Amino acid sequence: MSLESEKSGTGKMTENEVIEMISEALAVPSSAIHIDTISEDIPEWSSIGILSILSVLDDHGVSCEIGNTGALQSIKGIVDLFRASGKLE
Amino acid sequence: MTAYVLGVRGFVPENVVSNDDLVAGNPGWDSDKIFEKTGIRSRNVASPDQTSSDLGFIAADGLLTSLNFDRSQVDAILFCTQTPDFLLPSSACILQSRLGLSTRCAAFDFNLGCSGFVYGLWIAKSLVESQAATNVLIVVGETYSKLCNPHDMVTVTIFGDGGGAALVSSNSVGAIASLGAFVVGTDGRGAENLIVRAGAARHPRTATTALAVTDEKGNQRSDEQLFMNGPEVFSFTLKSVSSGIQELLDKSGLEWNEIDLFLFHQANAFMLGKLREKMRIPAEKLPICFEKTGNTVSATIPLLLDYCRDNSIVQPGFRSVLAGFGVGYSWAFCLLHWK
Repeated sequence: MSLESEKSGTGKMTENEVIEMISEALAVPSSAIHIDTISEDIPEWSSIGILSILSVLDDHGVSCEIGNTGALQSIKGIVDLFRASGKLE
Repeated sequence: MTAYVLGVRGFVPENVVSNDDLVAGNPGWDSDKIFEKTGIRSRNVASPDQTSSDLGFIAADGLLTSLNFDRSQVDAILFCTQTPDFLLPSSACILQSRLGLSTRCAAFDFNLGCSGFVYGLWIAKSLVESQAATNVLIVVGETYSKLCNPHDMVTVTIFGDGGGAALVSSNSVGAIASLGAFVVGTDGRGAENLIVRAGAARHPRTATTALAVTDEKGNQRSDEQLFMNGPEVFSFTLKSVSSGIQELLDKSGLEWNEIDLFLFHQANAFMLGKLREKMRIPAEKLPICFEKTGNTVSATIPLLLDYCRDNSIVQPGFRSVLAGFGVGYSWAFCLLHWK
């Protein structure tokens, strides 16, 4: 038991790695997602899908400030969160 | 001086609403998916004439009777609710009379949700250790079902109604546990994310506030009903709980592996699963018991303590962390050392 998550120590990610990570969180093929994808494009990107995305972001040490979960509705928004957290190459 | 817990008791009302019942009123919803998402199969709800203080009364009356406790010796009663019987007076005053407590007994309500029970322990410990009181009765009662729109999947699938009570004392005789360190906190920036917007002074009830509106996900609610922004609340929880418990352990000079039980507010399966994963807590150290009651807000921890007692999960000498977190945002964590 500890506070540290398993993945938080990993280095910076590329956009493609972020997309791959989101596809895994939503359990959809990565080919179904690209940088312009928004939540309405993917049925699995539901309310529970957003919670799954929040989970993997947390695993990677990417935080979402209060009132900013709207950013989780698009790949661009999520990539921006990685950038703002200094986790994007 | 140390504050001791002499007893704890939870209570849920008789009426049960199953996932099938919810689906019957909401074509397109799926019972199995509700369970998969929440871990909840049914929840208990108060009857139309049953209030939060009724639920708290049953828990508190049962507790005092089971302890054979002299009610004249209760120095303060604290009632936690967000669904009070009246705007005024405090429900605690009504409970003082109904429970047969002394007129010298202090009584007040405090308005908190899922952090409320642990907050109550914090207030009680403060009163006892400052010698302002010897015996403090904490009562919680919540009827969120009356705030949920029956067509709002976000809230009506999760919340149930319940009550609870705990007696905290400076007297260790017969105690089941002692209270250790506390960490409490608040971040009011999250107030809008779990809220009933209308009905109090800021936005009084009007014809408009009573009108239910359908959101982009198809959920219906009016401004007089409970709104929950699930992702925002989840995000807050991920950030606050693990760091708060770390602070509590640091304050207590303890390591994570020295805690025998993590007794968390029973929010829902997804949230507790993620918290357990994040903190790498073994499943047997984080009991869950919301499948048949739902999230009963401030009553989840007393109900969980009942569950642990009834299933012999608590052993003498166990160290446990109690964690309440939610609406406000508000959180409270404490150490409970079992006798």
